[in-house]
Amino acid sequence: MNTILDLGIYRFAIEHCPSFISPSLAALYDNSLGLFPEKPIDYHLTIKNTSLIRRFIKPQVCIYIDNQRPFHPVKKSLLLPSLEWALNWCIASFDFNHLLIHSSVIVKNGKAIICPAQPGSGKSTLATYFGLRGWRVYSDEMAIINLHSHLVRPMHRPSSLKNKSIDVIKHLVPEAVISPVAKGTHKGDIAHVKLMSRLQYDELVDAEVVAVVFPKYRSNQKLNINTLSQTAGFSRLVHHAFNYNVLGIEGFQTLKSVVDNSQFFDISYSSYDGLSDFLDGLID
Amino acid sequence: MVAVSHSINIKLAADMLCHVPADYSGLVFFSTKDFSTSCVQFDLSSLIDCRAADGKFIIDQFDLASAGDPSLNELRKQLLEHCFVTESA
Repeated sequence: MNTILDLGIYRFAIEHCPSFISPSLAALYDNSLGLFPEKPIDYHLTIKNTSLIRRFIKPQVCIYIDNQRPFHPVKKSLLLPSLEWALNWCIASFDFNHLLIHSSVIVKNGKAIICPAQPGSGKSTLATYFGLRGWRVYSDEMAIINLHSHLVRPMHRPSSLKNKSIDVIKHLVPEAVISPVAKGTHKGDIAHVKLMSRLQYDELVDAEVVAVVFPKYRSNQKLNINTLSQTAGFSRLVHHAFNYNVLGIEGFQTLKSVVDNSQFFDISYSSYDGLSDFLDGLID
Repeated sequence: MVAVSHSINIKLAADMLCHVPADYSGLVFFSTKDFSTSCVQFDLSSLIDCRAADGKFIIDQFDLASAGDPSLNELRKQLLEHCFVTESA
């Protein structure tokens, strides 16, 4: 089956998409699946079996991007998270029209807070929780910033949860739409969470970044908030950017603008109590 | 305030851009040659007058102010040592 994934900013064609992940894709992406078949495609992905034998014994699949195979083959059961990582890889590797920062982005009242962090810091869990509690998640993986307007752009995608975060969200938000758990990826167990419908996504507009919060989940840690200077924040954002060193002056000018309009904080937490008030205060 | 004398003016190194964030918490240097960025944290809140109407930091005025302030003068030396700024001819 061939299909199209329209994320709003980017469009992916997926050739030979196996039928066994169709229900998950349909649940997570709803109307973004197969949308605007006549429009141009940004990235072409093909999913192939590795060999005839591997179709029957411990089946594996490979994801090709424009006929190149950048990733190792994976077990069939790990295709959905691998596909999501492939989408991230395409965007981070080839989009030089936006400044991309490794970060989740939550938005309320047209104001964006970006949460850059290393993998495992809890940025996706934080975004997922607040995305299911009244905020809009523009991305749980990367802030996509327009080089001209310096506004952050939304993408229609699910969030990705790892290991204990899956049960945390199931417990805190029982009504969440969560994909089946892919067990045993190189990052552990992975599940994806639907954060909005395509209809809700279509209502979103680019948003001004007003704060940058560097989150760190620590068990049994009370909410701890430290203010950072804009100069320190600038340095940290450069480290979290995917393509800043390629964009040149445009990247510098964009980051300058984001930094000058933003407050910066380091936070550590173990629960969302108090965090909600803090984040609400940043967009008032 | 101790006056520190220096007679040579400084200017931004070739291919270097300088930005002082809105909170005056330091200087950010960007090389247009290799696209590298260096952030120097330093309390510049006394230098509000060094920003032009378009927001750009005026290095000449920083140079002037550093003549009367030992800590700014030390920063000036460091910037020269790291080749973010150069001495004018």
